[in-house]
Amino acid sequence: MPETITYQYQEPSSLTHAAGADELFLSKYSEVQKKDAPCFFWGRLTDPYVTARCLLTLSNVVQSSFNLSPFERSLLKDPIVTAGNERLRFEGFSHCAGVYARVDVLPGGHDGEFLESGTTNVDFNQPMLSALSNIRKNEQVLLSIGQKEVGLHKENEKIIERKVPLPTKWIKGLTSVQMFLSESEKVHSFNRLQALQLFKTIPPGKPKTDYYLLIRGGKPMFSPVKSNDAIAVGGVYRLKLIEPLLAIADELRVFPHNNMQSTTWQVYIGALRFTLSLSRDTWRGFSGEGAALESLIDDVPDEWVELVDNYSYANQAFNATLLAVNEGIDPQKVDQITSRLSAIGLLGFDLDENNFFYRRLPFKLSRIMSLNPRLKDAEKLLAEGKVRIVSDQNGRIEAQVEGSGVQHMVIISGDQAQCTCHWFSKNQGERGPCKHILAVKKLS
Amino acid sequence: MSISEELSTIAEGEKDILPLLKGLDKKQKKELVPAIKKLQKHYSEFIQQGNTTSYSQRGTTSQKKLLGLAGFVCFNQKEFEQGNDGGTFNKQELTPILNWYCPDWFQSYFDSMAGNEFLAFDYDWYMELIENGYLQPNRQFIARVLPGYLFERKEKVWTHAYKPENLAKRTITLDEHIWYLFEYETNLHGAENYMKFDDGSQPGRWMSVLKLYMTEGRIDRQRLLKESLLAVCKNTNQAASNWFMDLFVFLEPATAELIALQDELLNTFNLANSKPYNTVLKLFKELSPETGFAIDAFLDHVPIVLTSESKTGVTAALMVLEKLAKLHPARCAEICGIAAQALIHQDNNLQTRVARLLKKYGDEEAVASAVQGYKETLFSEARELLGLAKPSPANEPEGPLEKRVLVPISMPQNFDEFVFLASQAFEQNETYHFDLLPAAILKFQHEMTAANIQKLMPAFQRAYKMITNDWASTKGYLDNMLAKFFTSYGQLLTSFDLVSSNPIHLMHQAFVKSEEEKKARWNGYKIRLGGIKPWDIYTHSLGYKPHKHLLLNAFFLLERKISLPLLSTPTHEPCYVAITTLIERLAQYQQARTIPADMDLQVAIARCLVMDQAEAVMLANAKLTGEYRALIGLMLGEDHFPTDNSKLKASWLVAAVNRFTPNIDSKWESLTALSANHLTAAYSWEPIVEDYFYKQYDVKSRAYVDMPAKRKIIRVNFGDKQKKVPVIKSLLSKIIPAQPVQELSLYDYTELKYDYLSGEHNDIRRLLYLMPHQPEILLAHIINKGLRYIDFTGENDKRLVIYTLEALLALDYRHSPMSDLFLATCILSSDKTVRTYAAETWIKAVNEQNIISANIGQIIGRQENLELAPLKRFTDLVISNMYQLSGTHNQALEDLLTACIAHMNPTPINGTRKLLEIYHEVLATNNTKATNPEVQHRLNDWKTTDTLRKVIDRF
Repeated sequence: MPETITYQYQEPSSLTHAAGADELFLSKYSEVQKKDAPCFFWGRLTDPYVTARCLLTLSNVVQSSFNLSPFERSLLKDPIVTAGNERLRFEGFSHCAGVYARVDVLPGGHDGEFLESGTTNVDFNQPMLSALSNIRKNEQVLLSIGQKEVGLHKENEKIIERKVPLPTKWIKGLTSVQMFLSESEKVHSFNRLQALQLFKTIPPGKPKTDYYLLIRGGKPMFSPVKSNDAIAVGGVYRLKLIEPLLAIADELRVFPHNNMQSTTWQVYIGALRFTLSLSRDTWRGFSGEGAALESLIDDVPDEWVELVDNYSYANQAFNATLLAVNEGIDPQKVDQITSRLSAIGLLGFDLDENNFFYRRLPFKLSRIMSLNPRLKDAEKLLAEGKVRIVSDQNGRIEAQVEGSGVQHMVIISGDQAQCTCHWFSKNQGERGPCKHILAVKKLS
Repeated sequence: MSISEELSTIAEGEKDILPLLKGLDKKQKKELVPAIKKLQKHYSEFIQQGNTTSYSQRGTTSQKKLLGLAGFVCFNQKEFEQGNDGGTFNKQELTPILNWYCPDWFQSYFDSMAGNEFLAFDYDWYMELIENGYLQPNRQFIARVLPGYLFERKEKVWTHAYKPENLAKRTITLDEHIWYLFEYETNLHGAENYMKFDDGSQPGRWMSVLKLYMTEGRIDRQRLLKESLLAVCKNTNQAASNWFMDLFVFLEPATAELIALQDELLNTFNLANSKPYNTVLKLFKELSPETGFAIDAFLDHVPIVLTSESKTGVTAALMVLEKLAKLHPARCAEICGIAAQALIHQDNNLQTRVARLLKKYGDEEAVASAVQGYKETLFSEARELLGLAKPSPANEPEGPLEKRVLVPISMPQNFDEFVFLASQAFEQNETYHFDLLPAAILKFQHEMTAANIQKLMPAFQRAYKMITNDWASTKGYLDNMLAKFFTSYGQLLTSFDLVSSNPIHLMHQAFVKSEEEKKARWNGYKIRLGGIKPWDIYTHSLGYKPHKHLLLNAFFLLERKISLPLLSTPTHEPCYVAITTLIERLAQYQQARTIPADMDLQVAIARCLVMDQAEAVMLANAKLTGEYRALIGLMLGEDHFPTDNSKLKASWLVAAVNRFTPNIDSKWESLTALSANHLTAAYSWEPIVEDYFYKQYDVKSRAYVDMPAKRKIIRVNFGDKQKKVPVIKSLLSKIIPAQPVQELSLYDYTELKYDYLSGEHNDIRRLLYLMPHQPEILLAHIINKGLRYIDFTGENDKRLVIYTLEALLALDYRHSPMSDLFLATCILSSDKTVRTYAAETWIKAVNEQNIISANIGQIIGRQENLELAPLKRFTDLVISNMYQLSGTHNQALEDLLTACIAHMNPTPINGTRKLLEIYHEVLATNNTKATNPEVQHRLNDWKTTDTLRKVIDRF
């Protein structure tokens, strides 16, 4: 029986029609927030039509699955929203955790108050989504995230509870996708016309081969043929999720990961920005990539978490150096702070601003820490005394790690680590270190 | 008798259970739960019927029913859901119980059913339950069950009756419940599917009944109109969305009503499904002259449709825009700017339509700014209409062509590197790992100490697992072959020194034991372990022999502890052997006075790459003598021929064929029994219509019968593989039997053989890399097998062709009739990825001036003579991937199209118009005319067809 999480919403999210302006109310729930937490945001949306389109696209991402059967699709996971620093960010993953999507409502995209900053799950139910699809241009729409007036809610009224299997992949995805984002750089910028042209070259159906984005005869296009300066996209048809937004887009920017392990596509529409990140392959979720594993080898001291929690507010840019200076943290450790904090779900990444921002995932920290089976396996190897360092000289470590029936050889030399196990042999480190390498690193 | 026993007796005797149930108190009900579950399990078990082979449930229908009723009274909701097989939960059974007992979970059970995918329930009974106070109404439930309420099934006959009066039985149905249908996802749109009616009612009964009650004033017309439009845009399925749109039209909205609902109508433009907005645009066409028409809102929304995939939608939107431009002269510039967005479509008709609109309503300035950004992609007709200059010639590829950068392959430098190579060798991370592993073993064979063998154990384990595990979809037969080679080497090590290689021995024993256990467990299981020597593929395909010979040769050297390198190990990606390295390796053989293995040398020659001729000649002079020097000399452009007693004749043949193809002097043919055609893959081919039979079930005879049918295929005629031996010579050979046997060469072994693709596609790259300069023989086999039916039958076929294209792109080879046939056939294949790959291969070959495009066109023309594949695949590919790449490419494309048209059938096939439009376009871009006499001839033939006359007149 998989572990479950129960979303408890005071009432369902809804779009209500009132004289003069509609109100989009998003009901929120976080298992780490205090009870009776107030409303995060309340105010007018500058471009409700575009916002609605973006949120619908996000809900399509959240409801999609590119490597699983439609089983459990009704157990829709709810997106999370981070409100603060004049920005609203809605984030979510596809079921398979291979597609990450984020809607950023930037300053200018709203005219309202941030009553409290924070991150929370928000209820995305079908009637509310249906109502969203009926928002038209030039409408007045008020958005509230959480109930503005506590007490408006009637007592004894039934709380909306939705029990879903713990979205392990989500949480893991949310702790690792920013590692991919932070290692991505903008390579292309297309206007609406070029973007539409490019999307017309996406092959029909679901081709299993990789496609490459290249510029041919001045036009951007997708081709299955690998060439030197082309951007590799696995499962290119997943991009069709953002196709409906292109007709109203101002710009599309493409940010490939420096090792082509992911691609990020940002659509700019006025003061809104839609981010879509695709994992390297349809069958690979951001969750299983082990990008964050290296950062978790050493435990994160509790006081760091506390510090960041105390000194940051949602969506605030995160400056590790400043934190280190202010709090007297060993400067040598500064480099690790960012990746460690993001690996436990405290940071997100903004590609345009090229910085991490603070957002504490609305899940218990213990859940997040328990989600890395490879790390847990490495710890188990150590606990059972199955790791033996054979030599450690001149920055080269050779170790023997007991596997099933054989002794694996691990060699760590500078940045390069190798192991004889099947996982490493197959992936050659592209999908993070194996448990044997992790164990040796932890021991040495 | 306890109550459990009483229950058993009742169940066994199929007696009335209600008196027992009625008398139970709460405690007794709880006590009875295990007994009911046990009996339910007992009666639902499937048992054999007598001595027959048929199985059925132990219990009778009434036994299962009475236990269901017991469950209803005693179970909680979860238990009831688990135990209920659907037979109990109906009005007839439950009504007598509900009078005296209604479970406290009754409401929540109903509520939980509301979201179920299948919900067959009677609206009437549900309403009765509400009316009798057993239930509170659930809106979704009502919406789900209401669609079926319009029909009644007639007893005993499989027909239904249309009962509009049912909806009027209760006032609340029409007052309130009817609106729930617009709120929830229901089966309203398909409610009457699969029903038969014999009451004379017409299909579309739900629409009719809604209109009927609307006309009678029972349903509010304005609300009905609005709700149906809102339902169109809800995130429901496409069929439902279309149904609500049809309903809206069916209600015949008046102009004023349409005006009032414009916002809702415009919202359909956001749908991914085009049918609703196509309908709306038709309505707007009529509505646009009205004063209340919301032109601003329309212009705001219409770009989404203009850039959508639906051609009908784009055309309809342009029609409305044209009307608006006519009506609002002051806004023409704005309208032109919006209409121009449809120029994104690479479609002559649409572009021409836009151009006409712009020309008619836009002034020069408006047109210029509207088409800015589309100029490069405009077709000539639109361009001429707009009076635009021809676009500057497409960008030529920058500077001189990039020489392919050769990436060297590095051999493991120390034992640890070898260990990491061995662990990944069976993963096919790189195709050349197959060659690298045996080469590395030879290199490190003298370092096999106990400690080093320990390091190799994960690799041995991997190899054993690879051999004994079930087949994986990513593995090829070559992976299995390599694994068996490696485990054989392990056995060899144990025979050399059992002490230090004891772990290998133990592992081998363990796998032998586990295989034997499997054999004992499953009848017919074949033990999978075995060495490299007896290795074979189930098809006994010759195609795998060269690889096996390479491994056997390595094994031969290892058995004798000889430290000589393999000649064929690639030095550069993906499979090339630098000639200088080959010279060095041959020199080692010469020094050791050892004759190299035949296949090893042949493959080395076939893979050989001359990078610096002068350096190679110098090195060969310094290091080699005799036959080796002469053989290398032949590869370097010198003139040599083997002596009669040469032992390397097959290698000489490979070197000669490699160098001289397609003009091989007949003297070289004496080195082989193969026919000249076979050496150069000069096979003929034809597209044909083949008769075949397929099996179809015949209801009358209750058996599968053979049905004749026809299909179009491509057939490669391989002809005689061996040279024809004159009769006198063959007679002589019988009299004088001791004729010297001719050595078999790589060309004798090239074939692709399978009944169904199981792993061959995962080997195809490595098979092609045996002869990188001369892929055509294998390509002919790939065409004959993988592309025989141009539409792929499965994913593996597709992979076979894609991997082939991938391998070809990584190689520099001479284009030949067979590679042209392969490429042209790929261009027409059913898979877009394959087509795009083929286009890319053509682009590269044109860049390198290594292809005659007319040959490709001629093949496509011949294939389309029979309409082997829809021509649209080709024309779409030309537009999206092959046109306007550079002046050179445009010229090559013209050659291709000219040859194609010249070879097509005088009777035009579907898609010819599009082909001619493109041809005209390419000619206009190249500033040339259709002067080819055969093309002119064909155009004259086609001119008699009405649909083509217009476009032909433009030539």
